[in-house]
Amino acid sequence: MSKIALIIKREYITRVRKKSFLLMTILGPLIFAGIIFGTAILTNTKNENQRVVVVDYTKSFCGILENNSTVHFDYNYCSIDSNVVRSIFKDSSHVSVMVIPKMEELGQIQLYSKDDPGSDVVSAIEYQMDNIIEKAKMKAENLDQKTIDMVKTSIDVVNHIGENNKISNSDYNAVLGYISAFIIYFFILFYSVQVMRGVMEEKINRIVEIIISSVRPFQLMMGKVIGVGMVGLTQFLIWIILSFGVYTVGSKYLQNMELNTQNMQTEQTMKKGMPIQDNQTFSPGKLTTERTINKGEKIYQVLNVTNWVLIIGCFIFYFLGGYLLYSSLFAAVGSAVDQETETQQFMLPVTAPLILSIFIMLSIITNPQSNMAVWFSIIPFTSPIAMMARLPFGLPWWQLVVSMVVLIASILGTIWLAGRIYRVGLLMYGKKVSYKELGKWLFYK
Amino acid sequence: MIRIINQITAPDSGEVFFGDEKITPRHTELIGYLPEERGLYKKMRVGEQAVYLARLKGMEKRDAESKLKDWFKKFEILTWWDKKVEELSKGMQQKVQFIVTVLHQPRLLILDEPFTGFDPINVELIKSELLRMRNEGTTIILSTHNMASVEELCNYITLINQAKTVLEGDVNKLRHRYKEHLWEVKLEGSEELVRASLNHKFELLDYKPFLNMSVAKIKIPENLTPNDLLKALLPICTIIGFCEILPSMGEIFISSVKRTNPVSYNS
Repeated sequence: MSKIALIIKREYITRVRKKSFLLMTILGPLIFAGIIFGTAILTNTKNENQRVVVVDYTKSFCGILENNSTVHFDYNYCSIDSNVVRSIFKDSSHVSVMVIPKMEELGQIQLYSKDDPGSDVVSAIEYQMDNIIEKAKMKAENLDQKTIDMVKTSIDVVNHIGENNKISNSDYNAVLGYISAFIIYFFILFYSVQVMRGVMEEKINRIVEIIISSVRPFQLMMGKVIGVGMVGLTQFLIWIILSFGVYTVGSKYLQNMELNTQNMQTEQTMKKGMPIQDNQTFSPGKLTTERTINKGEKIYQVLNVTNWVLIIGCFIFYFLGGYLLYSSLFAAVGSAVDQETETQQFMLPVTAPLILSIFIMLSIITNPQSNMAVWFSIIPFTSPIAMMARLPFGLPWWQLVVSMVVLIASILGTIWLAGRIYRVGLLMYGKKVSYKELGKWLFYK
Repeated sequence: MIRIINQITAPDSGEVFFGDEKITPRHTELIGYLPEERGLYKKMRVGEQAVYLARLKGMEKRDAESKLKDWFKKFEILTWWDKKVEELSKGMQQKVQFIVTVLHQPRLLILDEPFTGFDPINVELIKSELLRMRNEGTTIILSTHNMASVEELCNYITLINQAKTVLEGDVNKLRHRYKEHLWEVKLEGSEELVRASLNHKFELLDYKPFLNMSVAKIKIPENLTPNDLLKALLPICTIIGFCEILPSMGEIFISSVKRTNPVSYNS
């Protein structure tokens, strides 16, 4: 077995055997999903229910407003003077006093609270009041409920891309782009830092001199980079298999649910991927009822349309590419310093493009074909993340090819550069390294 | 220079030859190197790590394992095989490192301060192994500041001070070259008589009582021989022991460095 293979094997096995790898592999997706759902849940629910004491000078809203998960309306003080009620509750937490003025001044409602009740409470009140007043006005104009329901409309835009009329959903693509870009960012950073730590461990342990008396520093660096990269790839593949399993089980469940709630005719319509049939007469009533079914079905449908092979293939390519690029730089950083704390000064410029690309990603998702999106998906230091964000929206083949070629070329350059720093840095002890110093190392014999 | 031989750094100028061939990375498998600053992977198991390091030196797995077991037995550390390195003390780790360095039977062994961190028993163990390998034909380069071990182990020394060779040659020849004709005489007799009889011709540098006798340190001038000294002493005392004092390598070290670089040593 060649020496570099031995090094790869050691790096791979010692890492995969660790308990933390197993934990990370299993818990990683759970934590990731947990973060996404957790934040979604946290933003949607409030721990404390806000009590809103209603003072109503119109005498028409008392008892009409409905409680929900955030707001609880209290009608016990409806007809008491607002100043009195305010003074009662002026020191109570989670209590607001809502003063509805006389009919002719209705347009503004005053809400008094000790602490800011938050936007959820305000919007809940605004929404309900708007609805009630709207309905009252419509009633006054003699519109019956049927007409009101008919007026309500919701149109979905179905995106047809290219000659094949591939159906695309921008919202869904955005989520997919966001998630895959974020995962690739996380993977690159996480495993590059592992490489850096590994290099530092060897340097601080002083085992490095023993090893590089047997192998060349470049072999050691590449062995470590490749070994750790394979760990990352293993982890990714396990995740893919796990989520494929979850998806298969989940979609079966979803299908069963749909069969129960839908008749066969609509089912067939959806299967053809055509939301509106040509022979279907335009009936407003049908449009509204169908809409609710449409949503769940649509995600399922787009999941099937998405080119998973392309996305996963590109993910692996850009993960490996971005990882090779950054991990060799991180290896150089690790070799240049003696202590973890010293890494900070070199970490910043190395991670800056990664962080930058996360910011850029957000704007790429809203505008995936802009000039900026194209450029950043070609520039090698941002391309892994930018490209993953763009990919679900589709892009010309030549851009993908150019981006890949540029990435490969810069990997070779970066590895060469990092190798030169690494070689010198490994045996430098007790010296605080500056950028000038690093520059000199590049030209050492 | 050690790093240049090990192909870790490139020389600014000059060339290194291994035997008759110019040195190449291929030769690293023929070299065993124990650096001064040395460590092991803390989280790895001892045996596994030793096998890994041996395989990096080009050994086959099975060969490495069986040889390692032999060495571990010899050093009485076979029970450590499955321990993690971080559980071992520094001295224990040093033993493992030493074994790994010599395991692949290198033709050239380079040791940088090999005895630091060892207790006297293990120092003796290592020394005897080194002497055995020397006798079997291994070339050993020992880099050390411990002059006593130099006298004991080395055939040939090179003294380097501030990147310049100050002194080099066969150890025994050097000690003879630097001798100052000092002799140690163990005797029974009175100090006054000894002083009186030596007075003119020999220089009495030191005179100490030792158990029930005395030890005298005497310098013989160049025109006289040890026999002349004996002749002078025989009538007045009983001579129990008589031997020449050769300078230690430590003394030679100090005097040579002082000679070549008086400023830095006087300040």
